[in-house]
Amino acid sequence: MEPDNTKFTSAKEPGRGYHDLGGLSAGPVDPAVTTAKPWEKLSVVLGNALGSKGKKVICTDETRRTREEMGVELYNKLGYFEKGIESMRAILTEKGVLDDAEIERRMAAIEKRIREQGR
Amino acid sequence: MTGPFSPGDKVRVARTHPPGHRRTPYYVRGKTGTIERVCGEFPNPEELAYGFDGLPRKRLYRVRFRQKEVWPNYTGADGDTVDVDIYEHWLRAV
Repeated sequence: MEPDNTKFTSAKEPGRGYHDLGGLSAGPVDPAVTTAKPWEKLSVVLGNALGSKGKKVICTDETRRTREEMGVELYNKLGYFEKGIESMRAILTEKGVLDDAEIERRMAAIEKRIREQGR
Repeated sequence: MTGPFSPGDKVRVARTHPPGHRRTPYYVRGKTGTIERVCGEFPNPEELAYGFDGLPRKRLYRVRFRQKEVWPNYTGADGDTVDVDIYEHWLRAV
């Protein structure tokens, strides 16, 4: 269950970011632990390679800020690792390391490969 | 390393909601607490978040709040507290 934070981004509590959930009701914690998918592990590896212990292209505070800028709809829709990927995409395009068209082309190529070769 | 606040000093967290990446949680803004310790000086995360170097460093404090001060409907013990790390520019002398 996602935290019900939408009503807190209204004028009811002006200035409260949708990510700033401290003290809000978020429902019970689901104790079921799932196994991380390969792409989820890869996303963490990528983040580490680009981060403060790696190439220093991105830093933790930037990944937080870009999560806070993606909009409440996307923030509530995406899972933890998806938010991480979206945040990295935003930073890397902001810095001109990648551009969105390049990412779209690569995604289309991978989608085609999976469709045709099953991997 | 000396700053305006020492352990034991009472401080109030600024009740302000500026746009941008801010490291002070909403639930302690405007609340009054006590300096528990000086954590040190660190590059400012509110600047690092936008690709700047975060310098000059900002002094970080651990501030202790009474749970009953933070949560008006708190039903736990009177002595319960919560510690939050807060940068100096968010704190005001009481």
